[in-house]
Amino acid sequence: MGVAAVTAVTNRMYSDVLGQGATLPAIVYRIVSGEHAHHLKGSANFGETVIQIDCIDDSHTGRDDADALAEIVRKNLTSYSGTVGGDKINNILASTPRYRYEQPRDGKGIGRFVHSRDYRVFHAEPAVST
Amino acid sequence: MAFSEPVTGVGTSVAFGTTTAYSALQITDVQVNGISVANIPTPHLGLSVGDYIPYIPGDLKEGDTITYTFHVDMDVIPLPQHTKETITQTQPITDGTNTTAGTIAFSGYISNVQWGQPIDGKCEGSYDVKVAGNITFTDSSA
Repeated sequence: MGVAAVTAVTNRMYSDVLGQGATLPAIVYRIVSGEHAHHLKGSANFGETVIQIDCIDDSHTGRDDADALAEIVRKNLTSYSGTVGGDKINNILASTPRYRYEQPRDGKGIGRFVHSRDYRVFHAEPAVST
Repeated sequence: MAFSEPVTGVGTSVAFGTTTAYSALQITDVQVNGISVANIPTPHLGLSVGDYIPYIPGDLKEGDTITYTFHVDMDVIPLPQHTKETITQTQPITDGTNTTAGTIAFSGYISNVQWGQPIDGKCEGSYDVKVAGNITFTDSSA
């Protein structure tokens, strides 16, 4: 999968749900869990959020394109630190990937290859007055 | 005063009289490791087989240490100290009618510090404060 193809996918990143008939390849992300740090006087203004990112494709050549897309996502996210939308991110860790194949619902054509991986995002949180 | 209900440690803080920078650390746990007196055995020949060994308590209390667990601030690492200072631990308010927290205060010093910098979590550490003098307990008040 080339860079051009990945650039095209950036317009097909969906939160939580992949819409019916959506063009593939695509990326679906969802927040799986969150944890907030505290200390004995209140909030530590620090949190960890686990985000699942599914890279989905239906290529006739197999799952290679879904995996290639997922690898590009991993390379861009792993160890990232910086500020996004005003939120300070300390670090991002990639977890173990999972692979699955989803059969086509009508039994025709080719199904979807899904490369799924959780990312642990360590980030600052807005200050809470104590 | 009658016991009302258990409480959490929320509201606890520790203040250093001299090295005030340490007072700003975010404390997540406090463990008082034991205040004790010596157990002095006083067996004598008048005892019989099967008797329990008699003891008397020592005259002095051992303050041991208090362990504070904290979120690591790389700019403020509490280090072992060579001089004592006044340390005041503010207690949680345990009575809904009280507004001024109780305290325990003593002369002490940091005797040990350790911390971790894990790849997959926030940096936490702990330091031990050696209680090196009398502890003054002050109850919370309205």
